[in-house]
Amino acid sequence: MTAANSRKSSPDAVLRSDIPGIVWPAVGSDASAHLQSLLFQMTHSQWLGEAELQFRQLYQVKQLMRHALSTVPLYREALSHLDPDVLDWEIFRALPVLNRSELQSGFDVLQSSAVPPSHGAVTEGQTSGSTGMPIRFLQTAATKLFWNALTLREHLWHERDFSGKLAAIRVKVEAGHHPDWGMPVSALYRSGPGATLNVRTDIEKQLDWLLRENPDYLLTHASNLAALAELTLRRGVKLPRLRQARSFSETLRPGLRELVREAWGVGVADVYSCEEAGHIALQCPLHEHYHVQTENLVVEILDETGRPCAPGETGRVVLTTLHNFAMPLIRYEIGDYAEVGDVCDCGRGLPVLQRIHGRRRNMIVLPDGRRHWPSFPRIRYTGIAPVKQIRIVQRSLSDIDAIYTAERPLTPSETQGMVGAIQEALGFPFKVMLQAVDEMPRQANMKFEDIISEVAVPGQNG
Amino acid sequence: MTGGINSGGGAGLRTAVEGIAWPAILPDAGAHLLAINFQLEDSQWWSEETMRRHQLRQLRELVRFAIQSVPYCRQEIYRVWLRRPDRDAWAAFAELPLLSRRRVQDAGETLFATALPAHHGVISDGETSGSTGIPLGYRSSTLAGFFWDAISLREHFWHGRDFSARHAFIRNKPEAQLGPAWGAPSNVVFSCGESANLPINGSLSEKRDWLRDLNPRYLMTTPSTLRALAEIALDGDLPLPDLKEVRTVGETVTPALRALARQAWGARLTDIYSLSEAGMLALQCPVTEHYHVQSEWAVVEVLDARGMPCQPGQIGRIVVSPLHNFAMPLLRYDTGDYAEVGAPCACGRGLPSLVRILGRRRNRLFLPNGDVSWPNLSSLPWVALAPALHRFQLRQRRDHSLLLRYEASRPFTQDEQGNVCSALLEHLRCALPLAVEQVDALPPSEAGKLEDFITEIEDAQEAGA
Repeated sequence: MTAANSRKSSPDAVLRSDIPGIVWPAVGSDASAHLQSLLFQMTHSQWLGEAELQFRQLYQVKQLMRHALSTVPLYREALSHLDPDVLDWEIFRALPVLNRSELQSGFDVLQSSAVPPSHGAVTEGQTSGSTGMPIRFLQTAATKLFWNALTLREHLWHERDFSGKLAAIRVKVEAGHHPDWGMPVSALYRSGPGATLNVRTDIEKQLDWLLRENPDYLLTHASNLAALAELTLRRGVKLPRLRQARSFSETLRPGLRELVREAWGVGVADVYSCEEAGHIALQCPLHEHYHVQTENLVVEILDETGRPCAPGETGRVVLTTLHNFAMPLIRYEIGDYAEVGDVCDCGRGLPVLQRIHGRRRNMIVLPDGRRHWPSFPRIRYTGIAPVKQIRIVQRSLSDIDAIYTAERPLTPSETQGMVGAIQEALGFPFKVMLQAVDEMPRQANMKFEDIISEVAVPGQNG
Repeated sequence: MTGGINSGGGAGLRTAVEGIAWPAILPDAGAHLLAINFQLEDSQWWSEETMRRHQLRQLRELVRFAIQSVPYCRQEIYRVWLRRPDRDAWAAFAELPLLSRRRVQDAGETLFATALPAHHGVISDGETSGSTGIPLGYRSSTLAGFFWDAISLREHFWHGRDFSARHAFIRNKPEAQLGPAWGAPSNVVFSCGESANLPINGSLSEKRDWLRDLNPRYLMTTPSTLRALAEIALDGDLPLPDLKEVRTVGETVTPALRALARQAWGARLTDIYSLSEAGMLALQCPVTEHYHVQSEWAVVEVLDARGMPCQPGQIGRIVVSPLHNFAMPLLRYDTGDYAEVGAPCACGRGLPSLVRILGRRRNRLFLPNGDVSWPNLSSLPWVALAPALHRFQLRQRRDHSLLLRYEASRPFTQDEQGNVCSALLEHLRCALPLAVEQVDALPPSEAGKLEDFITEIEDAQEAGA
């Protein structure tokens, strides 16, 4: 580790101290100490090599397995043959994969009958499922501690200035102003103010609100970020103080980073996480790719035959949570696809995901059975027609519907141009039906997927 | 296998949450120690300007408290300092009077806080051996002890120790049994390996036999004990095949001693500069052999004879202001030790460097012509000069004459005594009268230290301070 890459936070970040007369180094609350203790450990573990990380992970996996085999009905039955003491990675990789529908239907049999009391309060959560099929899951105080520690790691990796103002437009929040950034930042640091707005708010109103708030950082869902950036460009307005946009919960579509830079002159820091397993991968501080959060979960990227993908290959994301003793998820196939990356030149040993492709339902199926994730960023159609937003839905192996909003009705030549651009993006001369709408309908979970395929494909549906 | 926080393959940390071993959720006390280390991890790389900005914040808190709660500090000079704006606070701080040992002794209980702020814990009293035979009483709080522990852990982390390995301590502690672990603070954070303690006042042969049986990975002791043991090892009588590192504390370390440890066991030497009354002041750099001031714990000044800050290459006295011991705030305490200031360190840390700690004023040799030096006696070829020698101490008496007292398995022969005297006087570049005397046991100080060289001459500064 070198001097340069060991630095984590701004020297001006002010840590909260709970002891009268002691301001530096700060002695905070127990909660703050536990977060800093984990951050200290992870500050060092991030630089370990692959073998060292896997050694530690396996040690923790064994702890989890012992618990799961003795207290979780599903695993007690399905893995009765397994001896955790002799577990190695080869045996681990041969364990059965748990898919989403099994998780959805298996809530009862996946629960531990005896969560150790030291794991703290057990609470139930539910994902905001994009397909209308939410997942119920259990968390503990321990898993929340890891969630918070990794949230802080993400802030520190990106060297945010906590004295700035944070605006968050997301689900599960009310409109409001807050004295600080909220947990977990406020447990450790004195921070600038925060402001929140629900993502269901009309996009025009969202931008008006942002202009009023004039934040240093903006946190929102990737699709909402795209819509805000596009609207900013159309209205020709500025967010003069903005330093970075932060996105989460959805796949970062190609072209979004460029769009955000064009709109506000700032970069995007993306987080790949899910409610049921926590932080999966964080964007590298030096690159646009992601580092797997090896201290939190085992992440496997598997090809169609179940073998681990090599760098450059794309496969299914399969997760094993390391610390959830209330509802262990062992080899859980979340339904996302990701491309494995090469070792990162930042020096971190945490494995690299080059990109997150999203769900299987975002893959277009070609008539010959091949599948791919097309992208249709705004830049590919702005010169063709005054389209504001578009969603491409594959109805069959030959038919595509393209639902769009536009500043005015398209001319026949503009329509023709759009059809050509879509066919080119999808890599096949599909029959494309363009359909104008006044307002783009949102999905139940307020996420926005710009390409969806309804064509049944082999394998499980995400 | 890596050491430090990654010690023991990640399985070495204590956990308070059943089944969560990596990363570990520690018991509260361990978490707080790592929390401080999380902050130290960053601050060690800060620039001097940034460090001083943070030091000043804490110094103001300490002085504000001291004015209210420490009788000695109710003086107008401290109140005036507190009102100074940040931009000239440091210049004004350098004008505050020094607290010599003598002055601390004289001030007595007026330097103690009448009450501690909430959550600083309880007060503990201690006494440290004085150079003039007058002990110095001091007080510290639980919280100050917590910072001491946090810096002790930093020292382990810097040197990448494997906490699962066996550690031997020969020091001024009563217990002589195999301990279950290394002791606090290490065992608050880690499930440590075996440790063993031996009192330092036992015989050399006892130490040798004990160490030979133990064969530790790490050994901590005083430099004088280390030198005696290393010389036995060079005679082939103390092979310690597992020994990787010797850790020293309490006396001055010389390059010759480092070389001796390397030669004897292939072990590196790591030194700590701490004072009972002022805490962990400087730790050896993980990369070089010099020391880094622990600026997060204390403001450390190195001052020349005129009281001005020394520049790199200059030697001056060490003046410290520990920032967190509210039980007995020491503002500009003149430790009586001397150090050579170093240039910015190649390791990249912003913590100031000390090239060497020269020891106390009492370790200086005064020549009749007024010259002063710190004799480095361990660099002499003692084994060749006097093979039976175990330990020695050279004293300078008030009349400037010298007395060499030694422990040995037999008296020096006439030739040996002649050779020792010639070598000593040549090394000291003087022709002072020198007497030689064999003793059964050299008396260590109360802290178990044995200094190579002690003068009984008090210089004007100490006497008049």
